[in-house]
Amino acid sequence: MRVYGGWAGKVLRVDLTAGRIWTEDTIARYKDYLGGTGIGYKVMWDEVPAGTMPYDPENRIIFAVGPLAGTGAPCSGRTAVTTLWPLCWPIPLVASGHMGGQFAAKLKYAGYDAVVIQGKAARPVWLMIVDQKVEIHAARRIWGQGIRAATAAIAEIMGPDAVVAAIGPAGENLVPMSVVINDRSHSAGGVGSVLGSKNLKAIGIRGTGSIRIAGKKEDWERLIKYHLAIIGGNNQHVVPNSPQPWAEHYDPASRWNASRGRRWGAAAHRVDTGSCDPRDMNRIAYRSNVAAFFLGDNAWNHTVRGNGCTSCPIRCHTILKVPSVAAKYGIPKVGQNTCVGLLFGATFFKKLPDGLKGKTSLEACMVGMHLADDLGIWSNYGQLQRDFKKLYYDGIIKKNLDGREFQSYSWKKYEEGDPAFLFELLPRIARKEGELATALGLGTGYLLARWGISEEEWEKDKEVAYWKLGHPKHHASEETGQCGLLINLIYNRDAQCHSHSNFLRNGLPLPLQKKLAAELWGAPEAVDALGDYRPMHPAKARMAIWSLLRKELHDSLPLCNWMGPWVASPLRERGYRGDDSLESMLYTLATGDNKDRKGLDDAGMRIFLLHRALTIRGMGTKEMRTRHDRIPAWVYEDQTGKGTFTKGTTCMDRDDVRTALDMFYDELGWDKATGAPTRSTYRRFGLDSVGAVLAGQDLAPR
Amino acid sequence: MTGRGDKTGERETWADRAAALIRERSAAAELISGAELRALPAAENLAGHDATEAGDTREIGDNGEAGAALLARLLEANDDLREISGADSCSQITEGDSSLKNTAAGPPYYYSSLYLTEAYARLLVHKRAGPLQLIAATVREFSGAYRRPLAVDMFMQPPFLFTEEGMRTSLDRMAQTAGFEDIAATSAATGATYLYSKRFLDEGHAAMLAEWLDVGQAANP
Repeated sequence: MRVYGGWAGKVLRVDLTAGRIWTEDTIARYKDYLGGTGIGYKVMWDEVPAGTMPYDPENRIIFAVGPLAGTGAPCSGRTAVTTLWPLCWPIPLVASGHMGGQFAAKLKYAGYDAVVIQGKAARPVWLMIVDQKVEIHAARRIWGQGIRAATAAIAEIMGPDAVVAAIGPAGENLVPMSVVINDRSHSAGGVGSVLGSKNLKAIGIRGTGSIRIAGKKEDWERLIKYHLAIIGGNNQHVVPNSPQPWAEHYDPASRWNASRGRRWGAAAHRVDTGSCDPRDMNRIAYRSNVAAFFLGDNAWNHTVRGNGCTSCPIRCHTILKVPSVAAKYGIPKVGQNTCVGLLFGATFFKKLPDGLKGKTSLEACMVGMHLADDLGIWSNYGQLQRDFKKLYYDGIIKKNLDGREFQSYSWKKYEEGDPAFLFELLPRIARKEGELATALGLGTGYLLARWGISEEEWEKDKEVAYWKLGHPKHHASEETGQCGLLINLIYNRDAQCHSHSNFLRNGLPLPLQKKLAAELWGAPEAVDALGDYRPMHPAKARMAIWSLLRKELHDSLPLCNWMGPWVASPLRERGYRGDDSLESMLYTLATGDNKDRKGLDDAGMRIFLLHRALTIRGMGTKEMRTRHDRIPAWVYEDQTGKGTFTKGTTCMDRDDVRTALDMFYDELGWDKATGAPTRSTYRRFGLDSVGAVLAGQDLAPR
Repeated sequence: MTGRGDKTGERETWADRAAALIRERSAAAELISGAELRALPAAENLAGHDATEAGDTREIGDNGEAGAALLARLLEANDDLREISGADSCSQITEGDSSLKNTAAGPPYYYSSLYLTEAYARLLVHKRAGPLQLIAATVREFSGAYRRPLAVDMFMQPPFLFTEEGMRTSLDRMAQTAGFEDIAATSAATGATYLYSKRFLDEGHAAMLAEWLDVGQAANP
């Protein structure tokens, strides 16, 4: 068999019921699926029949990386964790959580492209991987402990260079809203309780091997420098957020917020970010301070530095030092996270004494990070917090709790925005203590069902941002028009796709975005001005599909879909163009398997199709258009009264959305009436056997 | 490009000094005026320069044709050096829109594109033209290019560096001064004020965008 670079070559299999450990050849079984979600979906299709439930021992949970992990390719430190999603309502379907950190590279250095866990251990265990030595150990000492203590205990055994991915009490107690975390703050949401159901507390990895690059060393180095040259700031924002001498453009909404005079004020020696000219590749890590982006200038004073994943120059996790929280709340004064993880605590509150950018908000963030990342609680992209606010202020919590339980919470503290309230709520969620905490831990869909609230009630409230199947929107129509709407239809959790939003938020002026859009998707009409949406256009369907393929490729290679794609750049000499063949160039040089952009996109389409096939099989119907790809009522709500396609409105037009769906399915080669891929489409992308199985059950149109 | 080599020991010309000074100012994110350049001594010698030597303290001259010709030759000989004036203040994004060509005309300034972009130099020109012109030109350019309002907070940041009081005063004056009728304000629910130009955004659109930029975007990270 041909020897490829990139892949480690083995997939590690662990059956916790039998205590059996073995390996499979990656290339023989999984090469066409690349890695990451591709391997995850393949395992789920082959081994987990429809009707299996998330906590059944027969369910698999797959930690998969891919050929680029561990190669040093920028932004390649991602791990996809695929399983039956316990939050997907009303029936669990396949989905993936995604984590950064050091896990992906360490797994590769130990010699594996994926770890597939099945079965259920008789009692709590953790998995130790040291290269070829793989052992299941009793977890008596660490079961019941927080993630930090468990991680430290395993690191004491395995050594300081081990990486540990662990669940907290939330996962152990089968709270669906739970995570697995590696490297302090890098979490994969929604999957913690599946590990808990298997009695698996943690996976520790020490890898001493290396990854072979198939191409020439100098070509690889040249390609990495090329990638670094077109990389921007956090989320591939390519202009600074304030005027800089080197920049033609600036956009206050950009996360590239370095500027001379802005300092990491809590570093041992204050560090000035400087102006961060994009040609200075040694200062890429200074470009973005995510905490300051969300929490304002005060966060600069508390910034120690940025932190992030293996081989990623964008340090999107900000390390913050806030001494006041140690005295007030008895928690560590240092914490770190990014985006919703950073904001976990603050966003519970409707009102904070001095706003989201004030001191109390910063303290709430520190408390939230401390509790959530140790207890292992997930926010479901902020849905936990949005649900909580709506439930409380609409009087639903009071209605559903007995008086004694309701009074056990300090609601005055909550209303006043006191971070101490989080100590009352979050540990109870992790322990399933009481009706409120138990309901919140179920996730939105199951919570609504438990309390007899119709999904329609949630679907019509734009502020609560609910989409369908128990999950929220994620960069949908409100900010990306029809493209975002289409992307939000597909998955069984929030879409987790940033391909489109990173382009639209990249900070380039609209005429430049339209120019690049015309080159990428065939017409400038692919993109609209924010809040000035125009009718559906075929280029919008192409942009949506391109975005989805980039997401699946990124989740499988892996590359970070939070940082990429890199189709715009900060370089005016390139006309601000990036390069969407970057993924195929990296893949080809790393593996030696020669694929151009189209060739790799076809592999992405295969992975994407397999996800669709799993969804169709799981639901037992091909009527995806009406039963799965649903759109919440708030999308059509006109809050301005001015009508669709007028400036200042974000509402969509029902006829136009029907047109959008037709174009989208048509462009994908899916049946327009049902939204199901046709048999010939499966065949075209190398999934004939999948198409045949589905056709045999009348689940694949001809 | 010329004038950037090692001139140690050679007699330095006015052009050498002018080019070096432009680059020095640009590296410090500043412009230099034609008047300042023309005031440079005509010639001097870097090595063992004697300031009392006849001719060294001569200046190139005032605004006459000779001075203009020298400056033109300076730009021609140095690819990176650029001239910008208040009258030449439209960005390429909004080029062709004559409504933007109202920034106060004034004497030309000079910068090096090695250190400053035209956009940044233009911003510095607006800054020299006065606070009202700076605010208006910035808001118009941003509204035109991005179809979005701009938070007042931006003007507290470098290179604007308004104080809150200064910003308030400027906005009050702007409201009573002819020529700025298109500059309008809207507020987000947080109370944050955003400015926009009515030439590019209508009130409802600006209000929706301000709310998104101030609240919505942070809630949708």
